[in-house]
Amino acid sequence: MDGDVEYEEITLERGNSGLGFSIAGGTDNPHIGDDPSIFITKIIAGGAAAQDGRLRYSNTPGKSVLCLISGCPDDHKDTSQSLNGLINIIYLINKLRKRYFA
Amino acid sequence: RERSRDRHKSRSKESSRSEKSVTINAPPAEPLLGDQSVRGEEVQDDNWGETTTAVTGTSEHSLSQEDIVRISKDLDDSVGLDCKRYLNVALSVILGLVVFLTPLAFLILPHLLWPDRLRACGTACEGLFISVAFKLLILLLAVWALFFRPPRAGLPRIFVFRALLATLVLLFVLSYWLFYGVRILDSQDEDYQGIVQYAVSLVDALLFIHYLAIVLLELRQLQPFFSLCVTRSTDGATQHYNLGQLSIQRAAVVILENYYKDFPVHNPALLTASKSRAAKHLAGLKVYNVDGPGENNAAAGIAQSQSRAMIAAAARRRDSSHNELYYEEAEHERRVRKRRARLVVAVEEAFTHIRRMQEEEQKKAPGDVMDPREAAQAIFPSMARALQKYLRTTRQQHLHSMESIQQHLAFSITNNMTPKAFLESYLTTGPTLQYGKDRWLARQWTLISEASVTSGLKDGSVFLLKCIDFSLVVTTKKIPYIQLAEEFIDPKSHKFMLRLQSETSV
Repeated sequence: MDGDVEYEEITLERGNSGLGFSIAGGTDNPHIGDDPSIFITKIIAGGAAAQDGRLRYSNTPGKSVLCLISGCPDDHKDTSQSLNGLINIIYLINKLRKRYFA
Repeated sequence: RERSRDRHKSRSKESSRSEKSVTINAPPAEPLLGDQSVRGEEVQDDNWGETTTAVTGTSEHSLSQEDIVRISKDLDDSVGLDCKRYLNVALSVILGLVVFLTPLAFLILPHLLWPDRLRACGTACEGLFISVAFKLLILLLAVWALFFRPPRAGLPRIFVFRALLATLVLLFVLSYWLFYGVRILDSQDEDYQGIVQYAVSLVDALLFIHYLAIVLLELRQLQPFFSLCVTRSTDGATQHYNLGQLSIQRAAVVILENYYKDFPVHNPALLTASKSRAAKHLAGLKVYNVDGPGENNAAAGIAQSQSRAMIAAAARRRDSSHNELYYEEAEHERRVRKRRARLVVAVEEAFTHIRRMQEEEQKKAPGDVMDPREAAQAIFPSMARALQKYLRTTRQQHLHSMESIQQHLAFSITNNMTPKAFLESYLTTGPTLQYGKDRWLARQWTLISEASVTSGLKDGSVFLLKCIDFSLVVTTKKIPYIQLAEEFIDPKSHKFMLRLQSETSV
């Protein structure tokens, strides 16, 4: 079901206005069909992620899944809380699916 | 016969028009319709659609093969049909009389034959007289309502249910007479009350037979059971009808009654284009056998290879003809739209020239008063040319005569119709009912069926209704059994919640 997957490890430093990207998805509010993964949907211009430059995401739905070192989360609220939390430096793994199978 | 001769003339011109070239030949010394200088003057020309486009080559009084067939058919069928109809009416009247007079005869005969021996009729008995009288009256009205209606159609075979019912009634009445004859007349029974009760029981039974007749003839076919698909063979116009359990001939009558109001009128002029294309496909391809006369046993093989060669050659030719068709149709579309625009403008402009007069104005200026017919004739010349051109482009000119157009115009003016309402019957082709009765060229239809025409409709039965110009192909499908289930939704169960923020910024 996974197809071609590319993993990218990124460490981001929190900037003035947060990390600078938006996430969507989760078990109770799936972004794509039945898939409960958390997806990266937007990179805010001028934010920390944009300035860092390493975070790539694909605009095509279903392709940029956010994973942390502990694994790929599927709860929206927990993920956003932990990302917004006190931690300043975060390890992110960006799982880019080259092909998405439903 | 005068009317039919005109019809034949117009048909012959149409049939020959498709094969020969059309030359527009304005007849000398007759005013053209678009002539502005004769506005207001009455144009006495009954065949306006024909005199302005003439077909050369055949004489004025030629008849095509179809007309000959039609005349001979008219002649022989008119005699046979009337005979059958009158026979039916006569038989049913006789049966009706027998049925009605029987109870009366039962009551009167004892008084005539053995009046002195008869016991006096008491109160109960006299009460029964009233009952017999009213029941007979009701039966009379009911039979008149059900059976003595003008027949809508002449069917090829007898109407099975009616024949069965007539036989049943006859047998029934005969058995009553038999009983009466043996037990009452022969023994000269004195119990008059018993005789009256016997007569009442006869009338009751007749009313029940009438109830049976209603159920069999009228009620049984009301519930839709079959869906019939009717297609016209010339242009493929299709309609669907839902009918109950009927015999094939009765279903055919229902379909034909609906045909006149649902199908667009049959216009042979629209079919000539595809016919000429078909002719072009085959024309110009001739097969020559270059290898000399072949042997007899190879004749079949040669014929097959010849036809294969023709199909292959025709396929190669097809490449250009679809292109032609496309451009021709686009061009025609454009022309029709242009003429239509001119027509609409001309008619709207013409309608502004007249105005309804009020009462007071009529008295003030009696000279200007026109009735609808005169008003129509006054504004007709300004739109006549545009209308004629439009009708010719859409090939409807033989459906409308000048007289009918003026009549329709007068009708529209009288009923305060707008120009658009007046034009609608020319811009769209309506059903056959919309045009004059002489347009209903085929009142004689033939039912062609593999199954017996008095047998009932079945799923998959196919039959044809043929008239002179085309035929209607009818296929039957059974309406499926519908299993309806129910699902209860508690009105309180309609609850909603807001969707979570789909995106969160981190």
